[in-house]
Amino acid sequence: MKSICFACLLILLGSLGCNSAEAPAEVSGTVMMDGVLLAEGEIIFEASDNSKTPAAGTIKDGKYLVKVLPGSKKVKVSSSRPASKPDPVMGSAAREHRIGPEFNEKTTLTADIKSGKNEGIDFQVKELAKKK
Amino acid sequence: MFSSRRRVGFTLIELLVVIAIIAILIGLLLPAVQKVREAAARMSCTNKLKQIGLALHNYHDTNSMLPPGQPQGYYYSGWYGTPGLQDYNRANWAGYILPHVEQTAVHSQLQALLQANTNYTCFGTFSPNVLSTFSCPSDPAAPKVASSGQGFHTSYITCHGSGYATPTADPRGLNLDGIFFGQSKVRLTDITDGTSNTVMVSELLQGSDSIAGGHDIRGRMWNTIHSGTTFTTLYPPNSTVGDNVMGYCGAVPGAPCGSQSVISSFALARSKHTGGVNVARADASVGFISNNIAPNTWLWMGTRSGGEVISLN
Repeated sequence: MKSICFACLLILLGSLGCNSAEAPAEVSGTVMMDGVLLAEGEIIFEASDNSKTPAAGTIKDGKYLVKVLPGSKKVKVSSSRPASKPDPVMGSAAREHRIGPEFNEKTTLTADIKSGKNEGIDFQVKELAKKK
Repeated sequence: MFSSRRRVGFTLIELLVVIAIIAILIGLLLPAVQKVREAAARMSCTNKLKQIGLALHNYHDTNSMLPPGQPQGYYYSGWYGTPGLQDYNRANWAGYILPHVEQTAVHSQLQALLQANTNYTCFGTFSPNVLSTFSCPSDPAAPKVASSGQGFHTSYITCHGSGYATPTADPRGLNLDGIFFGQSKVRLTDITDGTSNTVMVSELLQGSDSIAGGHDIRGRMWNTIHSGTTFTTLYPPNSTVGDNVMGYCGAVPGAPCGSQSVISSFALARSKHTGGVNVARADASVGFISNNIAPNTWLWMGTRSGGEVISLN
């Protein structure tokens, strides 16, 4: 009888301890803009059905490393450059989008993230034409 | 004579035991002190949030509408030279509720400046004044007064909805789906999702000014047209997604920076409280929202009349 109780206790303790949340997967890769590594930017991974907390990281010299909850993802890549018109109060030129909405606001990029390490998740984006 | 000889003093063992007990007690207590301090700071933040919520309701009682999030709308490439746009008026919703948080003097100076129409609101003589009602002690950077002449920075931001101002359709953010947006005049009866289901005010983290050629613009109270004092519920609180504020953004731990473009810019709700942010809902009730809130629930809490069904736990 005592041993059964002990076993019950063990199972109970086990179920308490091991009820862990989903572990984030490590995702890394490169981002190319018009065939060149993107110097600076931000990459965001959102669940396709928006059911999980999104994750983001910075892009530096084309490389990125983000911890993402596994699943099917929409991916948004954004970057900026100085705009042509300066703002008198801000001191210098404000900034404008460098990459078109098809890669961020209305993204078509997707990725399928598995648990564990995901290497070589690469993306290609295009630079927006400069307004004159 | 010394039949019942009493011992004077105590042995080494007894001394060591006493020291050990004291050490254990200190060990138990010391880590808790820091927690208590943060709990007190959080309580102070919550209290100020409640006061701001009540001030917004008082404003509504007087004027039959909530103050505009941004009286002239957000900055965009065609900002200068737009007819009818008072580009010197760069203060935000906070400028309207000052009389209701006992800052009548600052309010009358602001009104005098706006009527004179000679200078930007961020360069008013009142702008470096620290308004403690708008400063949350949990944020190590608060209260921030920028050396660059941009004045006092607020710790509290209002919600402009579940999206952001888009470049082509709505660059000034006049049609956003929250309560405080460009030229907004929302009445409480317009919040058909229910005032207790819609988020009105939350917190931000003030950024670092040590960046090349500028200053972080998050929380600038008197120059908010470049975004940074209204937030979107597009991403959950304290997200790793960076704040996409216009132009200048100095990242600090917990408040990363996004692409910083002039158009489609947004800030997110952030705080130093463990695991989430404080929010004031549209009924002026104050609560705590976890970082792990379901993204859709948070998204829908940002809309005033989206018609979504949300379950708050």
